[in-house]
Amino acid sequence: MTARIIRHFAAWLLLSAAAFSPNAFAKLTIEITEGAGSGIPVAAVPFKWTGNGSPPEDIGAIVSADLYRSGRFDLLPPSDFLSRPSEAAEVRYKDWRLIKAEALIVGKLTRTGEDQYDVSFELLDVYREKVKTGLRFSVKGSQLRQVAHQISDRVFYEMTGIEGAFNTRIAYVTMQQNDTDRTYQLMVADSDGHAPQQILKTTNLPVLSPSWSPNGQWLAYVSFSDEQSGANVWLQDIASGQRRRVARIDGSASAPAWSPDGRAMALTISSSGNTDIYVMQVASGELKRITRDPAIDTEPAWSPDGRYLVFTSDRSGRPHIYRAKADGTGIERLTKEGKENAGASFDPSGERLVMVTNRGRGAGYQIGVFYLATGRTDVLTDGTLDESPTFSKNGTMILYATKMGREGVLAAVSADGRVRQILKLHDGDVREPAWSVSR
Amino acid sequence: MPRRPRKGARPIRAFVYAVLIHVAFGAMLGVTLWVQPRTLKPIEGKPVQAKAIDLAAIEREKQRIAAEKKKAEDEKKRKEAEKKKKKKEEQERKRKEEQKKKKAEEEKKRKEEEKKKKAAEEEKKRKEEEKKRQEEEQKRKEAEEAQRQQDEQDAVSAFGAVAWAIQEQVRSNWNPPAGDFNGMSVSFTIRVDRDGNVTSVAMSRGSGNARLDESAENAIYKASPLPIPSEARFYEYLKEFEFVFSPQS
Repeated sequence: MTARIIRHFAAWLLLSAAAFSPNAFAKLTIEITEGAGSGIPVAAVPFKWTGNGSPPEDIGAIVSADLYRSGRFDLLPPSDFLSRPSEAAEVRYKDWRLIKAEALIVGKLTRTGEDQYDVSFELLDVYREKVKTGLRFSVKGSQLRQVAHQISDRVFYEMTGIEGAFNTRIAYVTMQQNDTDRTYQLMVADSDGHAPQQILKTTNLPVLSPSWSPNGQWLAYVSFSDEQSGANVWLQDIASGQRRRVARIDGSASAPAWSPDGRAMALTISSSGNTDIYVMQVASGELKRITRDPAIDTEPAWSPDGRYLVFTSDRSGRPHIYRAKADGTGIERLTKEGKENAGASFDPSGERLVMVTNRGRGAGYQIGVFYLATGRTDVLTDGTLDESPTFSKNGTMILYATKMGREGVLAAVSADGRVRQILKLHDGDVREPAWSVSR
Repeated sequence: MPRRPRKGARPIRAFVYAVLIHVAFGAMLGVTLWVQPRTLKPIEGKPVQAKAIDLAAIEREKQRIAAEKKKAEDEKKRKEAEKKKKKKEEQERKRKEEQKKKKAEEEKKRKEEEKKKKAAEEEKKRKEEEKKRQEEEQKRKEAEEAQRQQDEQDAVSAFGAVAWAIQEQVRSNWNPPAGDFNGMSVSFTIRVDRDGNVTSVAMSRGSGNARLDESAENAIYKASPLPIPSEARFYEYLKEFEFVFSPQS
């Protein structure tokens, strides 16, 4: 960028020197090719609470955290605020220009009855002094966090033009170990890791690979049972808690991945010493083998148009990402850089893959974004055991599992790598997060 | 080649002929008058009686008639001379008048020519003065232009730093919405006061993306006041300028 500006000035200088006629003086032109490299500065005023005691939820803080985590915004510290308006009519825009906020979020939380609340919010354009958008809700206490995420989505869309993905859920598996037993739990939580909810609990029998159906209604996962050998693929209805077994597989199974139309699942099956990719019809449980290679082929994922599958294979010696047509033909290797690449999945545009990458020389495992068009890989994180990355439905954030000490925790990173955040910590070892496309 | 008569010769000759003709006719008239009484006398007739009249009386009468005749002739001559004189006088008058007229015309012409000459001289003088004035003006302008160019070059050489500071201040305040804006660009014409406060921001060319345009405009407002040098000569070149935002990812 520096070089570009200097070049620009050199050209301008020459132009000026050449301009001998009196009125041909070139107007100074300053070209700017990049921004500050930080997010849009936004001020989120704590919502004005009307009711007894303290508010049940801090809506402003939830919204601030959502926006910050996306990497697209810089949340100005409330200690800098010169005033605390709660609606557009109370706003003195100058106060917010002084602290260089571009957008201002104000709102109110009012208790209207037993477990009944009104929430209102407005997003204001500080420099044009106008209301960009606003919302009003009347909800129960248990829905307040969800309301906050909806507000975040609205702000995100207004400011970036991209649909927000805050009002979505994530699924993950936790494992707790005591002296004798290992307890596995399949959990579902809000996109910020709050409001965790247990879906399944097993003892000494692992639960693997939760995967959301495209409509967000079902979770597929793999579990084992005491009575039978082999692995079971289950579908569980999140709303009702009912589940059904789609298939029992001899040997081992893992990593089910829904096709975009929701009719099929790609998964990894290991039987008779060989691990390959299969596609299973959800309705019938019918299996079709996609890869036949003595090497390990695993972790399949669909392209958004359903035409391709990507998977991890060590057929070249080390794990790398390969792509095949959905029928298993036309297999080609995608990643050529790095020591190892694994666990890839597509972003919603189909132009990028997120994956675990090991750049070699003892670097360990980080989260990388691979661009299919150029073959370039951007490394977004700096952990040593980062794993199981998954894109948000709008492609702006990535959820993954990382280690804090010996424990696995959930973390989120913005797709440009600018902001990383550990989500709320849970007891136990957290692994295999999956991000839903809907609430 | 026929010889052309000298101009002016013909009217004089014609005049002489006219005079001679007049004299001839006058003489002829005189002869006629003198002859007539004789031829008429017999018609009056009483010759017998006349014979009876005294010869002396006849003689006297003869003399009287002769005298009368002479008198008439003299009178005629006189008249003729008078007429001639009058004519001559008239001619002289005309000639003089013509001469006078001619002279007046010549005078007029002379005066006009003089006037013209004078005007031409004045015009020439005026033009020379104008030329001189223009040359001086040109010199003054050239000097001014040279000074202006010197100022401009001084300003330009210092501009690198100034423009850099402005650029950096706006850049550090620009938070473009994330996205692929490669190849897009938005331009603004900015005016600042002497303290660098941005007084007007006019978008001269939009990028087509309202969020990008707004973010760039916000950056300019946030960067105000811009680091403008206090020297007046800089302000001349910095009071209005252009910002072009062309994000490159």
